[in-house]
Amino acid sequence: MFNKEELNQLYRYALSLSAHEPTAYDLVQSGVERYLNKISAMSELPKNQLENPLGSPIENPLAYIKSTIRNCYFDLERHRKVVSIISIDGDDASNMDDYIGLVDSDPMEDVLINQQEVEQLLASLNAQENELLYLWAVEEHTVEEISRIYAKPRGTMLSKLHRLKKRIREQLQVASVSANEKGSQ
Amino acid sequence: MSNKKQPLKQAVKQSYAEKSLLDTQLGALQKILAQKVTHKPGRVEVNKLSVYKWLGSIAASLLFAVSVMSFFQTPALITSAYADIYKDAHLHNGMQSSMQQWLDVNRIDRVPQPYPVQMSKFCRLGPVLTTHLRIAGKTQGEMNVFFHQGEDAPLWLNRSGKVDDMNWKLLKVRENLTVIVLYSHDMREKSVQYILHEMLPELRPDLGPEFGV
Repeated sequence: MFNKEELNQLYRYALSLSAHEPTAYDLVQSGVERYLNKISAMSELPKNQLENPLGSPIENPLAYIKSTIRNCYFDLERHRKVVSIISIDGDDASNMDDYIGLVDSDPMEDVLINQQEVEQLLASLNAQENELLYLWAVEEHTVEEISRIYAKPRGTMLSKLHRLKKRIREQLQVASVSANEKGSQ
Repeated sequence: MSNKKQPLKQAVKQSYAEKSLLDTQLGALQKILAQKVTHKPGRVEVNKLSVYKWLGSIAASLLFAVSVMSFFQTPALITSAYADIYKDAHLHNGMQSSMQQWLDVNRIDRVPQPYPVQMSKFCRLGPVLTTHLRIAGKTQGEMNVFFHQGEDAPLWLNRSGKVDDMNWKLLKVRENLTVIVLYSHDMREKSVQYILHEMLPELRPDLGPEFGV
């Protein structure tokens, strides 16, 4: 049903949220189980039932599981009540045009970084920022695709992406200053 | 770890490419998938409406018997907890600070000193979110405690029983807090009681015959 690479893809996505390997594995397991339960429940419905109480059939299983993983992760975080959950609804999508310019003019292709810095960067970002970075860098989704995944307006995602890029630049600057200070001592 | 500088996108991609599921984890996931696929019901072209009616009448007549019997069976929650224990058997992360923080917030005292916490994590047993601790016995055995904070399980009663190689207890500690305990047969009953009493002082005064010291 899912090959090794697809399961690893789900795992990496879960890892982008949780930044914790055992939790990421648990999330993948929960996601896969929920997906299987859903398709099993759907297959038991009578063929002639016009309105499906379980919703529409799952067209993209991997996307469905990812969305389940996301929900499970934020459920766990709420349960834990340690990390504050930041809603992406708060962003103002009205000034979308401003963000289009900002995001497009900052493709970040000039940013060079080594693996050690990447690990530091990932550790410094919160779950939502890491998730966004993962979707953008690893899965190479466009802003439109990301906004569909989150079911949020494009403007909201543009503002999020712009803020993330700004935060990454700041973070790298801090890392570089502290590395220079260490070097001069 | 490579010291070579790369464009951000490529570097992030490489970082994630190096992270993969362990072979044991992959095997476990593929096993889950294989089981479900094997058990997936085939479509049988029969008049389902009449079958449902027939099943409905049978179900109604058996309802009482089932409800009585279900009390004596191992609850699904316990079997989920049991499966979770085996799934996490390889995990030895000790007491995580976030976990201790959660216990403190929920007024659950520390695990008494002589009993080391081998593993701690937040987990999901079906729809129920729990906090799972695996505690080792002084010399032998192990005990698993799942704390559930919330009022969404009103039917939980103080019950106990056995599931395969473990004993289990379901305890309503206080409003908003229920505990599932599973412990191996070689874990001393007195140790289990002691740990629970230390962590949850509410259990001391009104212990049932099971927990009376």
